[in-house]
Amino acid sequence: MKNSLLFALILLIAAIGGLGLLYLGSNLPDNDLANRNVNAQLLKIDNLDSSVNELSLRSRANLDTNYDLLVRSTVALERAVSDLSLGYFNQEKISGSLLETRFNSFKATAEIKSDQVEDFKSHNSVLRNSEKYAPMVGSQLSLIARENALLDVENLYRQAVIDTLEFAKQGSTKPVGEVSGYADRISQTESVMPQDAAIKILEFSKHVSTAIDAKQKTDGYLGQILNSSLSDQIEDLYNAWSLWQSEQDNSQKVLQYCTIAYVATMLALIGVLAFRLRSLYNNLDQEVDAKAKEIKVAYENLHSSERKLQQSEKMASLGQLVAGVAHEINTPLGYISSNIDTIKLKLNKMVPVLNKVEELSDAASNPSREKTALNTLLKEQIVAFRKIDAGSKPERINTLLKDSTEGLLEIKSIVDSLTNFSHVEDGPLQEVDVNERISSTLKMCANVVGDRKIITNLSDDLPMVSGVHNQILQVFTNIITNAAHATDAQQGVITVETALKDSDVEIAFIDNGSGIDDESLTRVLDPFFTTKEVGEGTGLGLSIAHQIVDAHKGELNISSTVGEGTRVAVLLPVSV
Amino acid sequence: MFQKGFLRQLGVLTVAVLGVTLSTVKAQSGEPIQPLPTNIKINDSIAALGKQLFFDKRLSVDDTISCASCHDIDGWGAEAKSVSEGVKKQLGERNSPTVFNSGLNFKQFWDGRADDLSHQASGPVVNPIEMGMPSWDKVLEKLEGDQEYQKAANQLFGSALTKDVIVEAIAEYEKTLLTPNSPFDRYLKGDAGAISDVQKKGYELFKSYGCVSCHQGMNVGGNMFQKFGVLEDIAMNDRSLSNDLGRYMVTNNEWDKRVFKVPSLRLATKTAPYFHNGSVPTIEEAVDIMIKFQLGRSVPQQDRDAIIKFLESLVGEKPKGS
Ligand code: HEC
Ligand code: HEC
Repeated sequence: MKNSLLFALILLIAAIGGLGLLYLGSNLPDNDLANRNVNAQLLKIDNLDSSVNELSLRSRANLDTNYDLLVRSTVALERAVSDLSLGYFNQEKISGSLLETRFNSFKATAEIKSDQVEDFKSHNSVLRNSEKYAPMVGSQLSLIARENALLDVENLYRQAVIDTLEFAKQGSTKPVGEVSGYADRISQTESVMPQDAAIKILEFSKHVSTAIDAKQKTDGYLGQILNSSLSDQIEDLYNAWSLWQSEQDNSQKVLQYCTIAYVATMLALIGVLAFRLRSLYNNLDQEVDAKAKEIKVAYENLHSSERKLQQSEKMASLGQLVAGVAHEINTPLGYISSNIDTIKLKLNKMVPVLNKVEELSDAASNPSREKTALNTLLKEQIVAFRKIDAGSKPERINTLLKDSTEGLLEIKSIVDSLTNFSHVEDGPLQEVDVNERISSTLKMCANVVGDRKIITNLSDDLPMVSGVHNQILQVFTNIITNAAHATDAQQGVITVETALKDSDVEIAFIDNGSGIDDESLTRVLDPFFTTKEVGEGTGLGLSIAHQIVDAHKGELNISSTVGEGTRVAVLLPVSV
Repeated sequence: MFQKGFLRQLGVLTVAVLGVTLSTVKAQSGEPIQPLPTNIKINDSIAALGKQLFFDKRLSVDDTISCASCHDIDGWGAEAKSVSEGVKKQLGERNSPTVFNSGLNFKQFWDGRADDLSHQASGPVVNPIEMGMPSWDKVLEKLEGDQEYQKAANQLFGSALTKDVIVEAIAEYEKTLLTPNSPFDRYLKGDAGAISDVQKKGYELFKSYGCVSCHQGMNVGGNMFQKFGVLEDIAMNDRSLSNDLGRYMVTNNEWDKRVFKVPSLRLATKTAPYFHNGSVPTIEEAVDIMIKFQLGRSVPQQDRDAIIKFLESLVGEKPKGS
């Protein structure tokens, strides 16, 4: 896999994981808030529950004249429970938990309680009417019974009223069975009572039974209401809620595990990435090595081609030089050969004299020698000698020979210069006499310089510089060649000056040539930069000069004004 | 841990405060009937949307019936028919009660099967006999294109028009339908001349005969259930009032047979016919039935008439928003 792809993948996993965690985290309930709200809601329910109890009691005791407040509390209680079941205790949320079981039983209790409250209300209302009307109608009937002298009936009615009232108000000492028997016993009195009392007897009986029945039901429901375990269950409910919350904490733990897993995964992925980067780094090392080698090879190639170019530059200079050298050699060669011709002629004239000398020597060495013959021979000898002209005398020949020897020496010196020039190898460092090098250069460059005027202004007491003879010669040659090419063949003037500048010897070449414009000036030291026609020069001259000067830890400074000329100054450190 | 101790203390405190409040309430007025509130908190914009919906016939399957068809808002929020006629002229089994003051009832419907108005409002629309929509989804589909509704729903509830939005809005509208400042309320508030002497007597009789045991509180009813025929079997009446088992159909409790929500009597004299099946055309007969079956006693006619006169004094102003 590509590293960039891997990186993108890791980023993607990081982002998805991060978002996932965020989602998980945000989906967790805010426990504190939830606790507070649930607590508040349960508190509210508990309060409402007490209110319902209280208000039921008040209704039972006729302290309240209507159920509006009781209704309000009951409805609020129902709402509060239903709010819980719609909210924090949502069936789906808490399903399967103890909380669900407890809440369901709590809800059931609350519902039962609501129903009990309704039943209580209904029966309590009915009770109220009957416990009020029963004594009323009972008293009326007892009066009728008394008027009709029905004492037993009257007593029954009175007792029924008292017992019913007592039973209805605070509960009777008499057993329920006995009290509930009144209704029937009252009905039975219908037969003995006057006709017009029949309806009242019916009403009395109904209301007594209703009162007793309603009282039992009312108090039964009231008792159930007051004893309803709603309030007790609240504590259990809250405990279950806490438990459930801590189970929710498990999901927080899950989140924690998820976070750890996420971090671990990210670390692993980063590890992989690091590993990939490391191998990449290693590869990079190798690659860099390879590239470095390539560059080195290229550099070496370049270097060698540069050397070759330098060589060829030298060869090009050599070509120029050869012409000059030929010219230089021609002159001495001319007069040497004419001298030799002359000497030959002169020596030919000497031959008869030398022959007579041989005869004379033979005669003189003969033991039978005759004085006259010898004299004759001697006279002939002198005649012969006197016959040769003064120009052919040996002194004259000597002069000629001497001249020729000088010519040969001159040729030898030229040849010496040539050998020096063609020497490419960097020679060992020598003490170099700058002035001498300039003379040599000028000699060799005679042909290039041609008719241009050379003015030398050389300092007499220059110290030696340290360098390589022929290289310094080449520097000068290259500069003078350039100067010559830049100047007019007839009007050109090249001034060469040497001077000591601090710890350097400065050699300045000043020409009155065309000059170099600023733009070109920045490039004159570049290899192959040339203003000459293609093929005329390699453009390496100054570059090589610069390189050599550099190698000598010197400086090459060029200043120029277009139209006025150029000054090239070479600074070479004084030899220590 | 559940803060039981604190809770208990608070409970005691609440009870104490409540006791004080109650005793002050009692001290101010121990009357079993209390005046209607004159100002209630209402979100007018929501109520306005609710009103539009209340009158919108598109809530019915054939675009013929709106809530207002059975609850005559220009009248007294009920209807003159004994039982309602819904879509396709189908007859229901019960008389339509007034929607006025119905928000004060502790439960909705004759049998109290709906806890509150919004719960109630979700009923008629999909009731096959009433408005006959096959489902709420179909209702929403129908109203989907109504830009005005959608805009209002969005503004007021931050959602599209949904069932909840519709029923909440209608409920909010219905809460505005109160009939305050009745002569009797003014009398309760101290205006002794607001009702006649007969009416005053009627009130005393209403209390002393025990009507007030069932018809009580702010709405003169609507705060409890009662068996229809507590003291006399309602089957004895020939108006087939015993056919409907009432709350029993909701709870299945034996005792709940023929148990109904005690209706408000605030507009009783204006909303004939009477009882859950609208079978009793006059208030006189209705009160007679009450006397016989609920009180189980005989009441002289002049007392009965005084009570009816008193019932007349319960009629307040028509709702402002209607
Ligand atoms: C077909 C006639 C009809 C239509 C339409 C109708 N209702 Fe009713 N309404 C009734 C009847 C009948 C009852 C009594 C039903 C019962 O108790 O079972 C009733 C009961 C009620 C109650 C209960 C009042 C109380 O005190 O118990 C309210 C509130 C109510 N309707 C509001 C509405 C609303 C809101 C709409 C429109 C969504 C509506 N009704 C549409 C006939 C109708
Ligand atoms: C034991 C409770 C109870 C008592 C006491 C009682 N009522 Fe009722 N009342 C009811 C119930 C329950 C209903 C509804 C019956 C039904 O429609 O199924 C009712 C209904 C009525 C209605 C009809 C309302 C309507 O809109 O249909 C009137 C009117 C009425 N009562 C008046 C009275 C009067 C007057 C008294 C006293 C003389 C009285 N009631 C006493 C429980 C009671």
